[in-house]
Amino acid sequence: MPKQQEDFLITIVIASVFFVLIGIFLMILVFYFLRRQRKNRMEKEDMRNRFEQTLLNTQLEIQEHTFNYISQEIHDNIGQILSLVRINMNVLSEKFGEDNFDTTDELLGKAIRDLRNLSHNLNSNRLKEIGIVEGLRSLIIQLDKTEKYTTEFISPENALSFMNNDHCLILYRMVQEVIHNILKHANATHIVLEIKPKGNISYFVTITDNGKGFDMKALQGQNTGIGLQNIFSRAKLINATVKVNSKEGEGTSIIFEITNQKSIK
Amino acid sequence: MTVAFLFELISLFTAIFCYKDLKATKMVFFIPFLLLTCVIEFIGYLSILYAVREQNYWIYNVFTTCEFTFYAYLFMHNFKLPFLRKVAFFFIPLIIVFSITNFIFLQGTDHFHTYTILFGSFFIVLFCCCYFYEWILPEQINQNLLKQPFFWVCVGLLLFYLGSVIINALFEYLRSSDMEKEGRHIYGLINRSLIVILYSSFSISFILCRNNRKISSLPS
Repeated sequence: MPKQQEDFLITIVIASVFFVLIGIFLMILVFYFLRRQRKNRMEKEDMRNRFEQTLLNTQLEIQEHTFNYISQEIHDNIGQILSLVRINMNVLSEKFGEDNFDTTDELLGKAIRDLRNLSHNLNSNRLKEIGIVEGLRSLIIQLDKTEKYTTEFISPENALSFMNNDHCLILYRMVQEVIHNILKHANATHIVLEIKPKGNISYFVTITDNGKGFDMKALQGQNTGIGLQNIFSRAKLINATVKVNSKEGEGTSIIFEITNQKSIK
Repeated sequence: MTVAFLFELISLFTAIFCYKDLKATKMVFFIPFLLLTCVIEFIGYLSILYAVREQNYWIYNVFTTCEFTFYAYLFMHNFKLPFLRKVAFFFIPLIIVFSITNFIFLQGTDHFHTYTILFGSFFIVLFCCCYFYEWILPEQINQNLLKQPFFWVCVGLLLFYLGSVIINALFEYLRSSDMEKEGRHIYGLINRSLIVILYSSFSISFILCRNNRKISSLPS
């Protein structure tokens, strides 16, 4: 075969391979571009999540400062004044011996106790002193004392010991919110708070009531109330998951799953 | 029997094997298409075997038009942008008209219709590029391109038609009397290699249809 023809055939082969390589190059470009875009999108999403978390942390901090201030004012100011009123009432009752003073004294005593409980509930330092389990137990005991509810508190010793003070406080507020919802909406008579371990690294904190329940479809989309929204956003902060089980007429169960993040890493 | 024909058969059997998974998509039409392809290739093989070489041009000339029509139909159903769907739709009558025009006025019955092939190749490559372009759009970002069956069809088509442009454009020269033996050899070699790539990519897309259906049917 003449050399010219040979060269020509080689050129054809090379040109064909070249075109195939162009096609492969084009595909590699598309892949690379898609990968970069996906990475950018994930980074953007991550930044947005971190921003939302920071915002929420700040909001919670402000909230806790406010609670602590109110708690102190109740303890230092209002509580003291009511105690003084009670003392003066006792002095007056000795002078005048009226029966009505007993009722008034009882009411004052209740007001002072309620204010003390409110002060304790608002004070985050108290939770640091007694621990999350005792904090939750005392919430349940307060409910029990009202005599409007029967309650149960089930927890192993040293439950949730891996949680730091900030996370304990967030969990405490979440449980408070749930209980507040039960008192406001559920018409329940029995409330159970249970802390149960799941393996070695997680705990379930379940709050169950025997109230009127609700249609779970109400939780979809934008229909979630502010209280529940707060619970969900706080749960994100402590890497907890929230599961809500409810049926109309059959009560409600809210389950927080809290995992020891250090064990996972 | 050549390696290329073997890959065509493998692709056909893979499509038949994955029939249940292809049924829900337009890819199910690959089964009759691949069956036709294998029949045409077999007839072409027989015509070489019995030394009736010139007579298989008309089969491939008709088949090429059917091929482009089929691919345009698939693109029409896989494009997301309405404009591209319209372009793919109007390509179908365009290639048929071009093919008939080429048959009557240009290359006639005695020649391999390279003009039709080049015309169709240009559009198929264009459609492949448009398909990739759609995937760069922000709406598609979160999906995995490698798991899309039609992506692999596009890969095969793009590489096949890009690679065969030169040999189809120079077909008459390669078949001319002073180059016949070497020209045919080169044409066959390149063509068969590209067919292997094309039909392998078809097989991959059929298998992906099966895998995607399995994943979507798993309980969440």
